[in-house]
Amino acid sequence: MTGFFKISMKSLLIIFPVISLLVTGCEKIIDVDLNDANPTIVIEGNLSMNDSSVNVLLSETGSYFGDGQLRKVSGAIVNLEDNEGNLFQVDEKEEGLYINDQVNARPGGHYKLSVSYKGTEYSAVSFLNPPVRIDSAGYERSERTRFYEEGYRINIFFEDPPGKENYYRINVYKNGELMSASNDLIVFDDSGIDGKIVQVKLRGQRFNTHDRAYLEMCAIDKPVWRYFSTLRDVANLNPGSPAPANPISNFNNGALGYFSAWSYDTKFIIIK
Amino acid sequence: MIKTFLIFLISLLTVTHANAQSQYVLSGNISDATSGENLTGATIVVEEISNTGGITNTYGFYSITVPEGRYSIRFQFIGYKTITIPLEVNKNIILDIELERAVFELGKVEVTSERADKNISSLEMGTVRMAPGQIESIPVIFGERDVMKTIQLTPGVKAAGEGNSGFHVRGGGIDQNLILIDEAPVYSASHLLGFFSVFNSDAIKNASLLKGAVPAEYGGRASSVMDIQMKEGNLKKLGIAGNIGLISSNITVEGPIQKDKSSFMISGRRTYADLFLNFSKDDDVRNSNLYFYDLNMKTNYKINNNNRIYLSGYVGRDDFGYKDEFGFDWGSLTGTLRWNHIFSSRLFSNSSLIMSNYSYNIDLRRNLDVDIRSQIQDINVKQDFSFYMNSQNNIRFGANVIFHIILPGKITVNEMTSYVLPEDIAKRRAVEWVAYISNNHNLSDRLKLSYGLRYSLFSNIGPGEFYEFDELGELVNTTEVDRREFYKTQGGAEPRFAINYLFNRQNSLKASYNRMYQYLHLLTNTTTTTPTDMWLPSSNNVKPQVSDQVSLGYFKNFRSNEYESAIEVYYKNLKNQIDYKNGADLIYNSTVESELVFGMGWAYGAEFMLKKKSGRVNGWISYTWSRTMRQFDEISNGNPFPARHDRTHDLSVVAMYDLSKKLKLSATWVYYTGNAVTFPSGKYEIDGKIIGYYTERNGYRMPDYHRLDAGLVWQLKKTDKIESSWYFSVYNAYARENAYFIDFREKEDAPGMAEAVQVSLFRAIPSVSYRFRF
Repeated sequence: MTGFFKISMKSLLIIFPVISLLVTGCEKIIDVDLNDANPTIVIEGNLSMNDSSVNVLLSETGSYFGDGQLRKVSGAIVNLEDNEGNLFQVDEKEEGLYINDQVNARPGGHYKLSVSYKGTEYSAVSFLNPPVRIDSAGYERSERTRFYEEGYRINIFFEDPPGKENYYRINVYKNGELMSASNDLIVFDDSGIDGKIVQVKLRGQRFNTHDRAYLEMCAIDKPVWRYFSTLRDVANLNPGSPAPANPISNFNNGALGYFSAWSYDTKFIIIK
Repeated sequence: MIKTFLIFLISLLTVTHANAQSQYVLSGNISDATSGENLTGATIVVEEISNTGGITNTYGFYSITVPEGRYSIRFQFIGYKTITIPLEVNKNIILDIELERAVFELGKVEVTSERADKNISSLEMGTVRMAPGQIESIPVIFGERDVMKTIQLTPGVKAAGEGNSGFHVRGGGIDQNLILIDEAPVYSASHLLGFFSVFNSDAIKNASLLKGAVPAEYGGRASSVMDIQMKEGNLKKLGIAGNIGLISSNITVEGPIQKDKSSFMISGRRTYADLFLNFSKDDDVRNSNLYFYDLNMKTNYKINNNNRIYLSGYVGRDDFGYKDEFGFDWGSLTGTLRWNHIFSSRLFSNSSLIMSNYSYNIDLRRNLDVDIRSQIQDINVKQDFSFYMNSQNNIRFGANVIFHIILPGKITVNEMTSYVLPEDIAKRRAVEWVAYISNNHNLSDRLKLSYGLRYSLFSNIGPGEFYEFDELGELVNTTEVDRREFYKTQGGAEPRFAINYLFNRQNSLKASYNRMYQYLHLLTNTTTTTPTDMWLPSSNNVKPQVSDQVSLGYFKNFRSNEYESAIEVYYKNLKNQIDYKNGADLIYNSTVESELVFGMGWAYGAEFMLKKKSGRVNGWISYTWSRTMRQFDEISNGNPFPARHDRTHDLSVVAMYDLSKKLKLSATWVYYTGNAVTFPSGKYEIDGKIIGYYTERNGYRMPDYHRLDAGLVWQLKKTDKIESSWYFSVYNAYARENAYFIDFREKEDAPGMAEAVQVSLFRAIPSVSYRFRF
């Protein structure tokens, strides 16, 4: 499970500058003159099998130091199509938010999301994997370490479906709220653990007594896994990182963002 | 091409050979009179014949050919008294010379005894030579003398980062420098995140950096060669020298085992920066340890006049840990066994057996219980000959075979509950074969040539698996290769050429061309080197890097060689450069080759150097203007972009001033314009996060960098027997906050709004050390 491993390796590398900063480092806010790139469309499309709904957020890039809200994109034509030729129209419910909650999605289907805006059509295809069941979830108390504060950490156990490549994303809700900091982005693949019973320890998400944890383990496809892996790299830049680049999108025609068809299994636990 | 070149070479040789009649050879060894150390690069001048002379090689050996006659022969070397010997030559003569050190008087740096116009007359160009003694008073960070950092103050050499010993030469990458210590390659040349180089100055005799006109005996890296020789050890008497500093100390002991026959040198260094960590209020810092040590050893034995054996070794290790949670250590180990044999007064031979090893271990104990080990190992067998054919031709030829064994990563998990799985990425094995021949040819008083050819091949060998990938990077075929079976062999010819035309003794024009192949490539996730960087051998998927460089230089001395100046321009073309796919997983990945993209690079620039060699005030000014570009089809839509280390203007001023006999003041000032860097040109929101939008690679510049370092040497005592001094220095004396990196982040008080934060590493760092010798 190289994904997890990479995270811990990265934390290790971060220490080096940290140690030297502790000695004499200093920070100051400076003015940097950045160019303003032409606005580019950003598409965040999610098709959830369990909820039978497709949710598409459309926005545009804005000036980096800009103070205004990022512009939402209205008036686009959004369609979802499956590999059997069924077409679902996705209507704008509020500014920039397009929803169709009547999509009867099947595992094993290919779904294509297309967005037409200002004469350009952007499309992406995603494969809907069947859900993988969480066998159980538990928690354990861990002491304070160099990287992590003391507290409770959640363990998830599941059986990886054998003989195929699987890609996962885990969303963690703490007391009803989705944890969405950049290090809460948990994606991994099954390389090296194919068909095994897997324990995932959520090291970065700390819980206290009486906290409620709601876990969503999503089965995603490879391009989406790659998107989130590279998004995580950009969101966690640290000194000495290689030149940052935009995450690898599954959309064509230069759109930013992703379209993911996924299914999930959930668990709910209370830390006692 | 190669064939014509060889014919050219042979025809030149035979022509000159026909002239060589009734000539005699004068040969021998030149050494230091007090220590018996070989002197490398000492010159031999025959006063009566202008076109005849010689230079000692690495082992102090020289050989010149003269017609029968009476001559005055002059032996000279920087910092030593010149000796002139009248000699009747009517047979071959062996003459060993011991040169005495010129008395060092402050206020009058004795450099005039060297053949003062050597920079004009030699074929060397793009070469920086430094002996630790010459740079003693130049202030450096933490007060630790460091040849590698002083070399960064010369033109065409750029520091990889603040206080870093890594460097870029003429647009090349950090991994394109071949760093040799007594012929053994050093795969990771820095300690403590790069703030120290692995070279303990007290153990070093000479260091030279070859930026261009690289002779045919060197190869294996695309941009430069840094050749470092350790001291051999005093053959005459026992000596102890040491340095006690704030964060590190070292001690060197050297002396004869058998007087004038064998000697030893041993030098050790240890930092104790971690002692200061105990005073920290921060628990995390207090519970960390962080130190390094290194040890240089050398011994040699003169069997007789024609045979001498040298054995040298280096071991150095960094250790970093935090309580019982994790340990991380890394370091190098090298060893060189050499046998000098003089076949005849004209034929000198050196045979070497060289070993080099770099490894690191990461031990994550608590909760994880995981061990990671990675290693690169070389075994090199090398044979070199110098044939001093006649007064016009000095031919060097040789061959070597290097075995490389790379262990990319072995992950051991001791506890089954751990979520990291054991992984053993197969070792990669390869053999590098090299043969070379070159000739230094004095065509006339005014025209000197050096031409040579190096031929190198690189073969992947089994046991191992080799992979083929499709365009998307998906594995399509795996080839199993048996033990000792060859898989892919690639390589080619590396022609080398240099010419020097002397207008007169004060002016010369030099030009050179060289091609170099590089078969091992550094994979790094960061912009400077880190201990976990991995070397990847060329293979069916990775072609060797090839560089072609042309350079042209004009050298002028004035005020009777008190001042040296040089202008050099270069153009370098780099093929098969390596970059990474977005999101590439570089470590512990057996199919890492699928994560790479390949492109090209080119670099050009002009270098200016003005040096004042003597007087109460001495030092130099160095300025470089340069551009370094890369082009990859997969990056920035295939448009050329500046390399990360592209730095347009780079200026260094080094000045030393003798206040009195006992006090010496020095200062260096460095100014350069910012490196290329990638910044966002917009932002957007995705997955509940604000993310930067990147439109081009390295399209922005870091802020300008400048810094003043100052130093003071206070000599307490200086006699033949004992020497002691205090060294005071301040790094970054006016506390300029130079940007180490620039971080873009969300404002704490205004979510959704971004700000740029500049992080600087150091303010002023004072240091003091005490140095002694007896």
